[in-house]
Amino acid sequence: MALEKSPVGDLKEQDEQESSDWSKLSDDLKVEILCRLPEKPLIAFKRVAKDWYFLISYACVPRLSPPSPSAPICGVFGPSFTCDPSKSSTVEFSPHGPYHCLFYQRVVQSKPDAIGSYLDSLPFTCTTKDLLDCCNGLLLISRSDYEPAEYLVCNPATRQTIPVPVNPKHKYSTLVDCSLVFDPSESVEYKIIRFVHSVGKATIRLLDVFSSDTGEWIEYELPLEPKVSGIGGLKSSVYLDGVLYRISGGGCLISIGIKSNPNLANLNAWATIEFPDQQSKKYVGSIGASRGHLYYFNRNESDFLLWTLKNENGTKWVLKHTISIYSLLRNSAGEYYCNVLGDKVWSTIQPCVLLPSSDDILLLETPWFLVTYKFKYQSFSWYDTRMRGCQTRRLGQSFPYSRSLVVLNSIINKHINKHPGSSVSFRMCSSQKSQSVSQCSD
Amino acid sequence: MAEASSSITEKFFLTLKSSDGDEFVLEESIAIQSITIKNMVEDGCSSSVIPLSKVDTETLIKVIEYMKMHSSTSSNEEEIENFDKKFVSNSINTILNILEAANFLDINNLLELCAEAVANRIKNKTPEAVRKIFNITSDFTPEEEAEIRNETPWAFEGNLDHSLD
Repeated sequence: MALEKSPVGDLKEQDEQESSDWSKLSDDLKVEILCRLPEKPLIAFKRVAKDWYFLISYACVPRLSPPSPSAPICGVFGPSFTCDPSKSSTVEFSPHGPYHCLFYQRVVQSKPDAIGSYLDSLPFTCTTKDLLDCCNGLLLISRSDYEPAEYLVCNPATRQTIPVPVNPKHKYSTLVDCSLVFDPSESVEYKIIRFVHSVGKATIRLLDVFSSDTGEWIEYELPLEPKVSGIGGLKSSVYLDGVLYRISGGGCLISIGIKSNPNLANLNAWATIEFPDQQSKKYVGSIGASRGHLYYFNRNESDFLLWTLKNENGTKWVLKHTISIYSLLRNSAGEYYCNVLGDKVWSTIQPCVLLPSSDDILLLETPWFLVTYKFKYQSFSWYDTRMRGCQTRRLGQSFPYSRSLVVLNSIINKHINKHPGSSVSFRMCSSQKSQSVSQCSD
Repeated sequence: MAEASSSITEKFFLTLKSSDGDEFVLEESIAIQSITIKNMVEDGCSSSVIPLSKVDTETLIKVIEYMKMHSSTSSNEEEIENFDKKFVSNSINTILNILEAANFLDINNLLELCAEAVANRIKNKTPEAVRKIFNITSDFTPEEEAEIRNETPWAFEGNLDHSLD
């Protein structure tokens, strides 16, 4: 019907049967083929037909998006540093744009600075304090200078930015205590979870939740203990297996069951978890996720420490790695660094980001260098961040990032979602090969 | 080729029967690249003919060619590479049939080869050309198509291939 515009090529390969061999394929096999397409045709082929649209949107894209390990690109959003992946041993200081993506591994299908330049193209300057969260490929940015104040939810991979005006009831409260909840393996919709301060007070008693599928903010009372008050400070939050974890200013971790608790009414879905090292005053730890586990990492006087949260018989932290700071400094780069900074070196290095990747890299922050540690190989790599006489800047708040091709707020999603035949369950993450030959002749 | 060793190692043979009723005799060591067949052999179900009701003769011949080339005893890497290159130049519908057979027989390498080949064949095409290649009729309204374009205009930029081969 809508084919009249296409140029008619020769049809020598066309079989004469009326249904093509493509239509006979199972959805699993179609997904196997489509997932091998590069990003651009994968998205373009949503236009072929409705079943392509649904297979690509609900099976291929989630399979290729974080938290799936096949998510193609991984890097870190941090202020001011960019790394040219073709020169994997150098980190370049970028004089333009306050936020850039540091790629620590070779980028396959995208230009190295695609993310940074995307943020540069935003209608305002996105600074360190504006980037609030990064969750499975989406960024949450606040725009407090704008009237009325709004959040931006941004997907650099699909080049989309969706403005979300704040709940007018809370427009005078700070915007920064906010987390993004997004997991393409659960749903292509996202939520913004805002911890609302009572005006003039440090305590937080309200949670304001925006859901992209309804387009509305809903408030919930927060039944948290007094010591959690003042969630601000570190912005670290992680959304994992339907649970949002966020470090509170009170020195503990709060967890909020989101998926199991869609209307957030169940008080049991809330918990506060003490950190294994009590978050010493001197060193501030952070959280991250890798391959389905939540991690907490910090340092003490002699080591970097990494714990994972186990949920058997109640929650408890299990120490997974102890990395000697001395071993980090005992190589040529480390020795050089020791000479430059003297004894201070011990107190300046801080683990800052855990990258969810095939070999779990921990980024360590120092004033002049960026160091990666690969757990698998137990090896450190040093990147000099002092370039072109630029002033040393700290990596500060940084977010691990992987690309997700989920199209935000798709109108199509909404009005053809209920199309007959679209109810197929596209949740499979890997093709299942459970078939066996039915007859077994003896 | 293998005469010298045949006196020492005893060879077992399996008979595979296509959906068209044609029978093919194949060395067991080659046939068990298919996990489906391997499981049958291990369960003792392979003493007589193995019926492959979902694989037609033309496809089965191709699959057997592939398994022979990829069996560990013969062929070096370069030969295999050249074979694979030629193998994926079959018509796209033939490859789709082999893909289905590879899935049914559980031959993972062949499945990956075919899926990759189909993806390579269409990756530079326009959505319109893809419809023609696979004989698909669009069930979108023009408005819906326009909306999809507007969602991700970057995906529709650039030079694309309108041809069907």
